[in-house]
Amino acid sequence: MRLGQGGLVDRDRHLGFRFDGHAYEGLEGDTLASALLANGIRLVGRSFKYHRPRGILTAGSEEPNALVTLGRGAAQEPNARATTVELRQGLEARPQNAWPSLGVDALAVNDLLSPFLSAGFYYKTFMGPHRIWERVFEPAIRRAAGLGRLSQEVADLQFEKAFAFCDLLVIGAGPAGLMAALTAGEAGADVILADEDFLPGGRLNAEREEVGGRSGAGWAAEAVTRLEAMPNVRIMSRTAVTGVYDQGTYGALQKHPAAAGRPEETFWRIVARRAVLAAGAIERPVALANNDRPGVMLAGAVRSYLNRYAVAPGRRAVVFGASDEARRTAADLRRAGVHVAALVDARERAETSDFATYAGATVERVLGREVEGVAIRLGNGREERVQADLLAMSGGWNPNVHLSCHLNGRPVWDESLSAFLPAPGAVPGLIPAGSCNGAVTTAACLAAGREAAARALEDLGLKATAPDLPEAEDRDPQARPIWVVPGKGRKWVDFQNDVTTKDIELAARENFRSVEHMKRYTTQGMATDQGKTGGVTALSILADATGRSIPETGTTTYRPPYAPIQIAALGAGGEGRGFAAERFTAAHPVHLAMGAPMVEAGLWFRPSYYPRTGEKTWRQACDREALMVRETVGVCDVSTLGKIDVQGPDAAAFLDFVYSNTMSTLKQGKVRYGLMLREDGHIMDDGTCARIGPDHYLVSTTTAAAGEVMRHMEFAAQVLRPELDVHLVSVTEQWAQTAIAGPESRDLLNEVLDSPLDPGTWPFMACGAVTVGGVPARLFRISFSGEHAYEIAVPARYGESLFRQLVARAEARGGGAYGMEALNVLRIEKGLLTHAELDGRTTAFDLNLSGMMSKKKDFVGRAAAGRAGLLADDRPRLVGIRPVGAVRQLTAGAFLFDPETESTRENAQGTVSSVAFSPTLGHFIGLALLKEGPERHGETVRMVDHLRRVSTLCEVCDPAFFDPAGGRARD
Amino acid sequence: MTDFRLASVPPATGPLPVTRGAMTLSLADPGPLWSVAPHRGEAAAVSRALQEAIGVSLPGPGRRHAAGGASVQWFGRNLWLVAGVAPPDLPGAAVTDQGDGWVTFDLAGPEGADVMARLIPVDTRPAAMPDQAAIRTELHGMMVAVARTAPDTLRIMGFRSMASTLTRTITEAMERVAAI
Amino acid sequence: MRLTCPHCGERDLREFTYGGAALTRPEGDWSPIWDEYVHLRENPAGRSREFWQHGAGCSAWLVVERDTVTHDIHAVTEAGA
Repeated sequence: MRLGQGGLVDRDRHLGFRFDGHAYEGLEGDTLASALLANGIRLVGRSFKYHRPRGILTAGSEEPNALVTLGRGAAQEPNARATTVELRQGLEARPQNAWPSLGVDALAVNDLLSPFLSAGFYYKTFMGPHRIWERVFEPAIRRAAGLGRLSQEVADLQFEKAFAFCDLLVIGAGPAGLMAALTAGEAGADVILADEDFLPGGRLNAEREEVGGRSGAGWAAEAVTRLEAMPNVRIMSRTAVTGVYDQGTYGALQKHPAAAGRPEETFWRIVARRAVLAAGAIERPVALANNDRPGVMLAGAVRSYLNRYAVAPGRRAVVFGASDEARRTAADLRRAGVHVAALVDARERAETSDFATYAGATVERVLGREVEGVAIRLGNGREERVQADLLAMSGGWNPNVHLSCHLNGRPVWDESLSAFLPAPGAVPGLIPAGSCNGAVTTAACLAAGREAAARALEDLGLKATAPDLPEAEDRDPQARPIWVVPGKGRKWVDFQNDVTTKDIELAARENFRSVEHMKRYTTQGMATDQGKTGGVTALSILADATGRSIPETGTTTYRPPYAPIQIAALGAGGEGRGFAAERFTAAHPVHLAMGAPMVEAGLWFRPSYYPRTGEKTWRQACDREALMVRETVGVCDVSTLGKIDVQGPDAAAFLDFVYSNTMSTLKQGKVRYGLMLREDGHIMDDGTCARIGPDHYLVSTTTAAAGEVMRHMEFAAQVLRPELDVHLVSVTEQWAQTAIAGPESRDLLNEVLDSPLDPGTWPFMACGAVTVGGVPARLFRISFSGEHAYEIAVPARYGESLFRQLVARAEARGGGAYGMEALNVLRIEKGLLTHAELDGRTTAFDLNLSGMMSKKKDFVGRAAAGRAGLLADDRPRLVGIRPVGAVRQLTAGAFLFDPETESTRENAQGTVSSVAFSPTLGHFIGLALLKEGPERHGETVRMVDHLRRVSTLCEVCDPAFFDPAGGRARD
Repeated sequence: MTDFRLASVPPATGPLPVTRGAMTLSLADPGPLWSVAPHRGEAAAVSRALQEAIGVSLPGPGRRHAAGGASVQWFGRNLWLVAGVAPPDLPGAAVTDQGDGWVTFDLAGPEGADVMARLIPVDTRPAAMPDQAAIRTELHGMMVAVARTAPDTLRIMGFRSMASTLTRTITEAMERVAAI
Repeated sequence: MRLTCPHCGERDLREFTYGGAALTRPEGDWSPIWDEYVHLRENPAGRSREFWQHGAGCSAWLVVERDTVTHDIHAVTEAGA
């Protein structure tokens, strides 16, 4: 019921919303929970396991019961806590886990079966034959249990991630947090005040209490106004700090009020030099029989609804607690016109008041499916029943230590408070303050906030001006904890996972005495609320059941996130094309215009082949392109290969160290093929090295290994050989490089060069400067196809133009562009290597390149490559294979066997690394790594591809299938 | 072939400038770009030579010097990027042409730090990154250099091949800042 | 985790790449010392010395001394210095 006056809601702003298909109205400033209560709704959902009817227990993010699904369709959001959902016009919410309807739930029968569904029941179902579990139990449990469901559709919602930096992060905007922010803000510190509520103030908004001579909420609002006026303070409302990470990094989830184009949420990584934890405390329910009935509410939540939202959650209330707060709750209820039928105070010496007070008594049991009354056990043992539709209970408060434990800190038990407190120094730079640190009055919270900020400021080297503390309530409420009320009946501890006191006692009986075992056996604290309300109560029950104290029992591990985070927020920016950067070469538009299917190579996009009219398969295009290179001329975009500029007085000595072969002897204007090894003696990468000047080399790497090679070379230069004066700069992006290959390559090149090449000064493996269309370019006479070939590099801005014109001129000669597929065919025909052979497990010896390991100098990998095991004859070594059996197909990845042996793993003689159909030779060819391979040319082996079910006999041969003498490239 | 000419094509950013809210992203033309890496013990001499030749010396880590049309930006360990003028002869350093390797954006407007907060893990608010500060960092996995070239302008340099991803990523961040 | 790069100042973990234990490369032919350098690693619970590269920053290779238990960073220095 909405009260006639008061509250922090805007009575002029009516907001229409729907719940469970019905239309309602609330006010600006409401949460969904307060708006439902204002409309007299208290049955909100069904519980996870027993499908018990559930209402609203709390007024904050700790809510275990009131979970709803927001929205419809693809974007529906399950498991939203009605107590944290800010009401907005048009909001639609639905109850969860109820069928056919919220009021009549067929699976409520589970509640009657509860003796069979106690703690660990599903583990016990594992004990039978596994088929019964798979066919009966698992499907049944999955159907019955559960929270809300995802739509399983792609939602058109935006989320984002961001970084923030500050001197001081204040977590929580209650009295301690606001005072800390004021203190630090006035001292000029760069402050972020993060609070999960949409209205800063914390409990000040929920209590009728004076601060500084005005209402607590009024003081909070004024503090916020002062903070907002400070340019060095950022107030982040609707922002839950969810995790604490190393070196002062905090995760925080900020929800944004809905607006067009606005992301739903921002996941912040906040880097703070210091932090004040002012996360407050969470009230505990009392474990009493049927304490989960709709109409049972935490006393602090009752006061929140009365005072902040001007909503009466019932008409006739019983208040139960063991603290002077009980009278405060009763007084707030009476002031709102709610009849207080009984004030039950478990303390013998309850405060005197004019309420119907039962001192030294307990509420033993809740009566009714929704609260209709309570059974009170009086001090003299008699039971008395009182009619009521609301039970406001409080077992005490748990300081909210969660975030202080994220770096493995364990909270410390405080006997006088009967509560766990943050361990001092549990998180470096994080200072707990206020009720999360054991303060029990508003005055103490305000003072603690100011003091914590002053400490942080001192650490930061700033001077605190120490703003005056406002006067506030400083009377200790003389609280005594109530954990469990004795008596029959099921008493809920974890409302969301349906864990009762009996489940915890059963776990102890079955010897799950460790708190971590009890948690897993009962699922206590494992629901989305992570046991915020019931966790410590569960420990007290386990402690009792095992004859230990609560601190001896210990706590389970608190882990991030403090509050649920949608995966969409954590993964924001990584969906679709945001997953990784896309790298396009300068000639990319030409490839697209020619219809080339693009293939990803690392982050790069490269053309597979260029289909022409009439070609129905990729093979037809590939065969044509390969033959074109062999017969006339082909043009290929090779810009993606890594290019590293190596300069400095010691460039030659450095390259001798990182290459297994020698580069210092390379003459200026020449290119040499080079191998780089890892320190374990295996090949890391291969490529060419060109000497451009006396102290200037250009190293090329394979496309995929460019980053790794650069990192390796930097390591070698900076760490292994720091005495060498050498500079490494990546120029991959600077140059657009095109291969021109084929018998007519020189003629094509001469068409575009400013002055034609002199064949005498441009032998195979020459390099030098040329100009093309007036643009300075680098030319390399190198070949990855076995043909007379060049690679020409121009500054990237000219790359598209050069490639386009070379393709046009090549086509005029009967040639054209060739893509990755043809490039691969051409190199396999020549037995040249890619990372299919340089697979991280092969050595220079394996690839018949032992001669490239210099014996005259040290180089990375030299010592390890000399080990006997890496030079053993029976290692798989590079050979060529061609099919000679009935089946004429080869497949990469297949195994090789002696024809006589069974094709089992232990008989394997080698593997096939690369295959292609050679249009030049008219049959399949393959490269393979075969034991003692080079000695077995001419032998027959059997290739078996167990996955693709291909098997054929092959002849072992030299890997250079085409022009083995290499005359075509040299001439 | 004297009639053969090559056309110069800018990095593939897509249509620029774009304005979202108070922020504008445009393609900048920094002119010639070349990296300078002084040889061992030559940094001071190279700095003097640059000062004489182009009027700008080598700044310390995280800084940028600009004068006239020339600028020198700290670009990494023992590495600087000179922009705007052709390189003089610098015998004490490795000099490398970088004029085609980078795409250069200017992000201008009062909310630059809010946009960058969604892109890089470094504080770019003026107090942390004042005028003429220059850093290297990563932007959604892409290596970038960021410099504050004017009080309201952040210059972002990334790999040329990533121009379209950078444009899209930065524009999306601008859209979100404008919407919040 | 945040590391303080000697060139760039304090930076987020994502700018750095781990480079293994900070060991000294042996000399000469293969030997048990080489075997240890290439293959054998301590797995310390406590202080460790590691190579990290500020690859997305200034590209300097660094030696990071940190505690694998407390996650404290004790020192970050240039590896070649």
